[in-house]
Amino acid sequence: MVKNFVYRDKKDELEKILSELQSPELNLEEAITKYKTGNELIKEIEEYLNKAKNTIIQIRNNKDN
Amino acid sequence: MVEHVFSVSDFVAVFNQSISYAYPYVFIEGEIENFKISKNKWVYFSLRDDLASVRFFGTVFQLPGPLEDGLKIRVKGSPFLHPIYGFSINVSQIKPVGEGSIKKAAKLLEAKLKAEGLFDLSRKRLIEYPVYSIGLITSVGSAAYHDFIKIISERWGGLDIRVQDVQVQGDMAASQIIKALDFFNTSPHSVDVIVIIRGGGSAEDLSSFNEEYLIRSIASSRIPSLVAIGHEVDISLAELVADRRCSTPTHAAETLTPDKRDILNELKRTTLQLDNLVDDYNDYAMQFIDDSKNSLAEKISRIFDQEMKYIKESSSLLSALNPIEILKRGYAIVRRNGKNINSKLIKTDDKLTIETYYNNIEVVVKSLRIKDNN
Repeated sequence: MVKNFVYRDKKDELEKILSELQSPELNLEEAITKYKTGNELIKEIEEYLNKAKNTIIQIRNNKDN
Repeated sequence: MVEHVFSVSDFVAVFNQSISYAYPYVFIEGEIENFKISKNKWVYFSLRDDLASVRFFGTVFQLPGPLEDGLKIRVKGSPFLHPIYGFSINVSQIKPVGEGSIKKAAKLLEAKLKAEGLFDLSRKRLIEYPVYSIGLITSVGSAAYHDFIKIISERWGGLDIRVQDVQVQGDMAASQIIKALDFFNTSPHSVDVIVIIRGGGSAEDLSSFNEEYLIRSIASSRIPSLVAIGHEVDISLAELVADRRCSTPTHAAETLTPDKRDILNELKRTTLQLDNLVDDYNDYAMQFIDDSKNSLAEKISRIFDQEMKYIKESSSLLSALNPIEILKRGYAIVRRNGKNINSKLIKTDDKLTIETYYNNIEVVVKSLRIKDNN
């Protein structure tokens, strides 16, 4: 797992970026930066969820044994 | 032969000396008549049969209980010629004889003691159960003793049984039993209960257990008492006055202690019940754990699925909001003085910057034509 990764905070950050990207006030440079950050957040969250999935599978296997 | 003439006093002295030498005491049986108690202390009566009557003198302390005319008794006493009142037998012991008299005497004594409240249920004390120490008063040679010891040992081990060996019938029985009662009541090592037992017998054999002093001694015992006389029809007064009576010595042993075999069986049953309870609880706990595991797995899967769905949707939304892609599709951003502007606010002669995917275009608005989007 990524150290100091707080899932709730990452999700809140992504929500904020998605909301900001829909604002008409945003200029292109800012939109591109936020788009890039959004993609990084999605990647991090996906990695986190995939590791979480493996952890669940591992726990389940231990339980069945 | 020389005739010897006595003075009256000499004759009385010689007679008493001779008779006490020849018959220090005699036993005489007969029917009571003229029974009288004077000053609550002196007892006078005669014994008679068909042909003769003899006078007796004694004190109330020698009476086995209340007596009345017509009762047949056996008296132990010393013949004595009183210098003034004449011949009588000085009583040392009285016993009713014959079944009828024994029963009659017992009835008279029972009525007297009942009136005093000696048999009242309110006097009965509880005997500890099970008992741990017993003061046993009986004849150790008797079957009653062996039955009692055998049964009580089979039922309950480790009891402290202290025995006072006494006669349980005959002239000495009552006094020996009283002495044994005193022994236990004054012993520094007290017992939980005093048990007096003997086997069955005739009314005469059992008459000691109807003697007033013995009854009073049992009544005044500091230690609770149990009396078991193995006979069938009549109950002795000793049994009536005891805190607890039992029909036989065996019954007494059964009353004082539980049967260890019953207790062991009960323990086995309880152990089995406990085992079953533990098994049931274990099954319940295992089931609870299984249910919890399943429930936990279900919940985490649901949360996980929700999050996976969320991230997929967010990813799609982000792709749709990719500003480069929007410009690529031919859209442009319009700014005035470096700030995005709402197209509704654009006026003629405004200097605007138009940003496309390929370039930034500086323009001046020459004319405006409002679109009707409705």
